[in-house]
Amino acid sequence: MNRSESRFDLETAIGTWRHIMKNERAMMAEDLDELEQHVRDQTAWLMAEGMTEEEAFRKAMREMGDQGSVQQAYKDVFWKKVRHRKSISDELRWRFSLMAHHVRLTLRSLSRSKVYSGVTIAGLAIGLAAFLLISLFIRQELSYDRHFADADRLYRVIKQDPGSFFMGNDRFAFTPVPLPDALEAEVPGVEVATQISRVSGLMKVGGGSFVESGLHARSSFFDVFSFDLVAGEAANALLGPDRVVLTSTLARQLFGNADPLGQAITFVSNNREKVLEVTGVVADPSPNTHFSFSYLVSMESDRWWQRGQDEWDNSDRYTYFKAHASADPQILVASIEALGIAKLSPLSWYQANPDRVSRYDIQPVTSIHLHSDVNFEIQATGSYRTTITLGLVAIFILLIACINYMNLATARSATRAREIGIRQVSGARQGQLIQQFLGESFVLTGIAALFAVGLGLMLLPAFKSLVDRELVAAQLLDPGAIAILVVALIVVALVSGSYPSFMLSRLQPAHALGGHRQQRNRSRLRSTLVVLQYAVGIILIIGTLVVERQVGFMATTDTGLSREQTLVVTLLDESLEDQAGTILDQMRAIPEVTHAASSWSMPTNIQPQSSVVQYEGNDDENRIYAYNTAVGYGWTELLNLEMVEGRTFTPDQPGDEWSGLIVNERFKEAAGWDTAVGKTMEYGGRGDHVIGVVSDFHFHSLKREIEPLVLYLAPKQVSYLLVRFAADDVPGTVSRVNAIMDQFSPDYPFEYTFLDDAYNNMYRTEVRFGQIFQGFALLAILIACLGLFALSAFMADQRRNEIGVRKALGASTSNIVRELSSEFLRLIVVALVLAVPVGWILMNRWLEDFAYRIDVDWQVLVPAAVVTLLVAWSTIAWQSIRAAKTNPAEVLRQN
Amino acid sequence: MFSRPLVAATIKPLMLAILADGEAYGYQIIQRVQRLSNGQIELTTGTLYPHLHRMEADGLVESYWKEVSDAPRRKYYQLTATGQEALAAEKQQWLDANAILSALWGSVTVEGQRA
Repeated sequence: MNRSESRFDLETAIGTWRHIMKNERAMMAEDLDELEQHVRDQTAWLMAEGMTEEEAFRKAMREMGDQGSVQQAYKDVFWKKVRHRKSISDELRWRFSLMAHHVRLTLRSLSRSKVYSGVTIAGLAIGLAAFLLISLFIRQELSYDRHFADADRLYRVIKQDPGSFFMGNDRFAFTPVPLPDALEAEVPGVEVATQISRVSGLMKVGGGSFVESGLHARSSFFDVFSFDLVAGEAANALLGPDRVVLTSTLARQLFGNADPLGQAITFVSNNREKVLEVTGVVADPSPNTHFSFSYLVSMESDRWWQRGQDEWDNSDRYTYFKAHASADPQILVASIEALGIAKLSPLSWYQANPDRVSRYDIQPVTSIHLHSDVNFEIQATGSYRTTITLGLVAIFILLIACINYMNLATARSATRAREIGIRQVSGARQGQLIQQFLGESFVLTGIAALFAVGLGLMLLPAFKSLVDRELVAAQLLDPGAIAILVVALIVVALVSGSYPSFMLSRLQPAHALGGHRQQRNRSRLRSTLVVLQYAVGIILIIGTLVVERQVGFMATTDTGLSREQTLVVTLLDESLEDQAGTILDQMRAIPEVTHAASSWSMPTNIQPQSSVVQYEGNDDENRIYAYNTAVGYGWTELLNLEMVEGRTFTPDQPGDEWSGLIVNERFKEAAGWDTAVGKTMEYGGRGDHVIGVVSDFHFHSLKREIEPLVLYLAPKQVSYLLVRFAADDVPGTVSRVNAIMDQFSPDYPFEYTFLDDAYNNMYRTEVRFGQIFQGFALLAILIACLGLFALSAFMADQRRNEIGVRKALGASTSNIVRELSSEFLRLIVVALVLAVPVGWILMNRWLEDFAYRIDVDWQVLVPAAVVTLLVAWSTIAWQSIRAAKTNPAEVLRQN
Repeated sequence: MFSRPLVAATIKPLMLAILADGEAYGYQIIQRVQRLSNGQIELTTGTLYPHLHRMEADGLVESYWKEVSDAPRRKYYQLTATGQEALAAEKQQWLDANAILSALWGSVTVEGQRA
């Protein structure tokens, strides 16, 4: 009767049925066994009643009920069963099989379209990697000083000195010597207070000598800051003069494996030589501390500290305290402010100048790194704004990657409509489809996350130097980082998976199977997303260009002094100040050297600032805030500064050293003088007169306006030796200068820089900011282009028939390319229109920090637009050209 | 044929009553239901088992796999003490309902009373 090839086989039929049922998660293997046995029993029974095997099996199947309600019935009781058996393993197995099922489905669908999967995973991986790295940096920035025990009770005292501005800011990190003792004695909320100040000097041990920088610290240092002492006792290690605590690294460097405790170190600092006894070794301070040191010298070793015991009007130290747990910060501030007023000295002066009464304030130690706004920080702090900006960039990049996913997934829906339709017809409900698609996005994001970790590890070294922080690979894999990655993964998978899954699961089966194109609405949303992606990318490009141009502007602009071919040698050995003249003479004897001069300040960063009241023509009301520095002979000539009036300092006029002053044009203007030469003014206690006016030049970064300046001649106040040379042989000149320095101070290393480097270094933050911007703008555009590439591929694919017909009707390749690409280019243009004003506003705000700045004009905006359009066009063009070149005959034949 | 809600309401007492006669496996239960109800109660296999599983989870029945030589492995269900109590309670409820309805519809003979 039946032909052999179609003969019914019960075992095959049951096998097929089990295979179908296997995917039903609510049914455990045991349930299937039970059902299978039932089918076998019933089939056997019905056959006994005279049915054929096939009829019996079909009837048994019919009586099973429709698949949907059977699944539902099992599902309804599933959790009850799991709970009843308290069988965690079943539950886990169920969960696992659910996951495995989705993973299997996803991998299957991924391997079917490799371009799609590649692009999606690459986009997500790059986005996640950027996010990971940035989150690492942000966590590092936020972690500063939180490692100290009782970190939330640690405060630093700062001081506001109304009327004594420096760089436009009258808040200072410096406080007077007697402050910590007074805090402990007179402010109830203070548990323990300490004080530190920077110190640097030459350490001589055995035959070796090292220049290291450290801190002077009161013995209460370890009571406030919980550092681990590897050797010695915290209680008395810094008690008494001439004691030093070394970091482990320095101890190893100085003494190797020998026990450092009790060893003697000859220490030359402040022009004095003394012998320090090593009384402790402390673990290296963690890099996320707002001060660093390689050793701590007991405060009592500092003669300036000893002299400053009662000096409340001289602030040059950093004061910290630990508050009682119950102390109210507001009351603390009020009490410390009151303490400050009680200690005003000299009181009579402040009574006469009440507007200049200085005021103490406190800042939590944990907020110093990101939120401090005071002059003379103990070391460079971080920037809250950069941290926040980077955080936003991270989120934007992730968003761009999510959009890629959404766009590609919905674009692909046309191709997947059939699969969805079939699943719907065979009983899958919307919920199950949503689960499937969300599962898909989780699998994709999971794979991308693995790549992202790898990518992050690869990019970490570059990123580290970009943000200038000690970040280690292990931090990428610590629990915090993994938690962040997992959260990002879940958010990304949900964000990018939700839209496609809800949209795809709502397809009408008839439409899905009938091949209807439900494209209109979706392509509008897709367009919006593409516009959004590119708008973000364009803003980042504008940012990059603006920062780069501003940095370039600052690097090349004429600041009024010559920075080229000028060596700046740091005079580390203070004992050499008296011999500066001799050293300079020897340097001038080097044939290549054209000028040599001593200087107290770096000419591109002149400090300090003080106020001048007593100058000729003033009614004692006016006050000029002027920066000043000691300079040596030849200073203005070396820097090529123009004297607009009078003359510069010269050895022919011995009076110059005692009473000669040079001011700049701004000062002259501020003083209201018609001519400056010969005018008298009281400056630093010398009865001085002006001998010349130097043309205005920038002696700070271009962030600041040029301000009044006073130069005085003091050839023996020397921090730097400036050497200008004419030759091309830079290394030769440097080594000759080095030889002279070695001859005078053999113990000290030769420390030098070039003046233009020192100048450019002032913009390090901006340069770095620009590089960061550039890096992430590139990533953002790369991800967006990946998406555009795949999107245009899909579009071209979908329109193959249309293209074929058009070509058959005579359209040229270029016609078609133009049409295919214009659709996308329109979107890019819309993105440009949206992004340009936003970028313009944002970058103008950034530029407000600079007194001298570029304009955000067409020179920035046009290149940004052209670059974006070109990159986007070349992305699309490839696909368009490929599509347009297809032979119409082939396309049409396939249908 | 019984309406769906009625089938749903009777299925639990039915199965409890059948199992009160002794342990049985699923196919046996279905066959007995069909025979007893003369085809009035049509149970789909697919939904019977979840019912049994729910009763098991509620502690009314317990199950075990029985391995007998030269017979296939089958899962047997049997009543627990709780199941016995539940059966008694169900029985009382149905008799009460029956009494009320019989009083209303006096003339109608109910099959159960005749037996």
